Amino acid sequence: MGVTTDPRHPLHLLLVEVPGNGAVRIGVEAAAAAAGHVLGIHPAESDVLLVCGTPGPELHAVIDRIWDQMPYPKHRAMLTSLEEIGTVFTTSQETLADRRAQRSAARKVAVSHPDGQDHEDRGPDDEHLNHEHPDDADDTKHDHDHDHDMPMGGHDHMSMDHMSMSGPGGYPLADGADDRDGLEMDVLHRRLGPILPVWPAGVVLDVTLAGDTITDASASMVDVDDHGRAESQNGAASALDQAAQVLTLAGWGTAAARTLRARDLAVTGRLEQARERLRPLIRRIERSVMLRWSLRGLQVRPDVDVRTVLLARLGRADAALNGRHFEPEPATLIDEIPALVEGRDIGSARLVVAALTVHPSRRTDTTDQAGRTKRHQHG
Amino acid sequence: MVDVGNAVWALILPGVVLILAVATASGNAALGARDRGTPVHAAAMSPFRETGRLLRQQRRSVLGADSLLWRIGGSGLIVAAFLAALAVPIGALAPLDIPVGVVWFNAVDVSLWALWWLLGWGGNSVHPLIGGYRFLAQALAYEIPLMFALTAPAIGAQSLRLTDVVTAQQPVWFALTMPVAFIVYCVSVTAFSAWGPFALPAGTDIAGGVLGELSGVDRLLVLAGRWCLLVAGAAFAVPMFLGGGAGPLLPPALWVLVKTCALLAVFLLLGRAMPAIRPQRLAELGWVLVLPLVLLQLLITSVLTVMGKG
Repeated sequence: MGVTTDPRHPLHLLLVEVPGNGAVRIGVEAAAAAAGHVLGIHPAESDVLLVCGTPGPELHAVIDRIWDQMPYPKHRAMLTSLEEIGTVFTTSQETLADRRAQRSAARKVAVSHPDGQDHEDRGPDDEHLNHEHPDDADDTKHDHDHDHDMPMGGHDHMSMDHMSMSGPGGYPLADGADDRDGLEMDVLHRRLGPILPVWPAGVVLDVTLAGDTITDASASMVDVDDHGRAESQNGAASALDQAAQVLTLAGWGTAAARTLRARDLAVTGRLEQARERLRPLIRRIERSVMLRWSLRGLQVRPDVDVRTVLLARLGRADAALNGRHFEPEPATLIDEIPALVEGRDIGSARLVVAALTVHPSRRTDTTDQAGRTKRHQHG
Repeated sequence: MVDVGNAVWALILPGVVLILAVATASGNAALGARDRGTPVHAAAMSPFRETGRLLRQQRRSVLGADSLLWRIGGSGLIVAAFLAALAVPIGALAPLDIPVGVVWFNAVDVSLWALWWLLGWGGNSVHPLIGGYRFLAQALAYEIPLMFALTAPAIGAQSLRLTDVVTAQQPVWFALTMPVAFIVYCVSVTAFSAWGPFALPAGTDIAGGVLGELSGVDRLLVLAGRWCLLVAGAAFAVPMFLGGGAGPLLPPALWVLVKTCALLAVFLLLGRAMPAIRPQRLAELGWVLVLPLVLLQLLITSVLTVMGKG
């Protein structure tokens, strides 16, 4: 893609896909791979937060929380078209390299959040929308007021001696409930999405977890009013992208990487090379006994399991690359998701969700579902 | 003279393990870049760059984390790897030539249960906690077969001392006479390193699992510890199954190194070739198939040993 960034400083990018911007996200991933940058799967390991598309207010609030959870040095940017990508990479590298500004920004955050409540939390995708977030997003670049020479730490405000509520850090302790075997087990309420690696854009799944098993779930979309549209899922690139998502979650990094390589070739117009690489890859994935065994019993629809969906996606990509006709994948409505994931462990549930093409509208648009989501936020 | 040599070797051993760990990580990154079609040279250098980046990165804390236990879990992995590697005899040098060398390794391997679990649990965060659960489920599946696999060479040599185990492999390696035990051992090493098909405790589906909340030097220690565990596991296989330093032309110490590197290369190539095994499926495999097989291996080894004596 002709991106010239300094290869000695690969970025660790945390990508956020705003619903409807799948093509931008795929383009960014391809450009990042070509330039040798790395995709992060968690805020803690990432140094650049890159938003693909223009987020609505609800998603924007979650993005701010994720930003707060990232360690310094860090940078954040938003892009709506792929033309800006080269500039975004170079700007990110420059900002990260400016240690003085990064230090003073880290110090400023440490001072402005004296109790640590806002800054540290339990994961990438849980959110407390009613918390305040001073928007210190771009302070890193402009704030040179604090010249105190402080090490990068800035985490020493997290002392917990003043927190004496029921559980650690003032959080209530987990509830208990009977597990399937009748023994009591801790129960946790957790929000999956909207920002989670390898996850359908904008989907939020509020789950109740007993251990790693989902006992109850409710699904919704962020910023429902903003976009009720589904992105067109045709073409080789999106089929390969979806196939790679299943392979990534199945923990087969090698096959996922090769699929993504074919996707990047397709998306950058090198169709002949993509075709050549895809055929042997499909044969290898089809033949894998371990994959068959590992994905056994993960039903998505009657007579359709995750492996069938994976092979169908690869077949669809092959057809698209060879100009043959293919049927698009049937879409799943958002409120059909809970029934598919309840009773599964989180890994299996993630695989099932990755095997769906989620349509952002509901079968029956009830206010009950929305109300249910609200109640789950602080569970 | 040998005592001085042992002391010096014990001091430089962590460095050697780290060099091998960096080489393995680098090879892994290069293979990954080849699959993904990204610059291979840059990927091969990535362990060094990543070290530099993480040393400069802010350390992160999580509200309500049990920091002490969390940090013990994070820094303990690399220490466990060094302790395991210490038991490996290198030619005439054996810094830890105790009569129960095999048990020593087993004790270190059991300590990994606690370390990985503390790493997942200490962070007070759901995804790492699930990573911890996954490691325990995985450990339940591999630990008993691994213990029996470690017993086989000890029975063959009629000693738990590693130098005796090496001597007993003249002229035929235990990897050839007890193949099931060797394979189970190798699989268990990748499993206790939470790597390859056993990497789900740190899986992408749970946002990095046990690695999820770590940044900066804490993350560096865990990543390095994981590679060092793989190296230590490969190195320990050399006296146990691959004839120790025995080999033509080269000095014994070099043969140990060559065999360790060869086994690491096999781990890398095979581990990358397969999808992850879900921990709940692994238990089924471990207890229904592998455990009877490894017990059968023990029976055959025991009978052969008794007949050889009698």
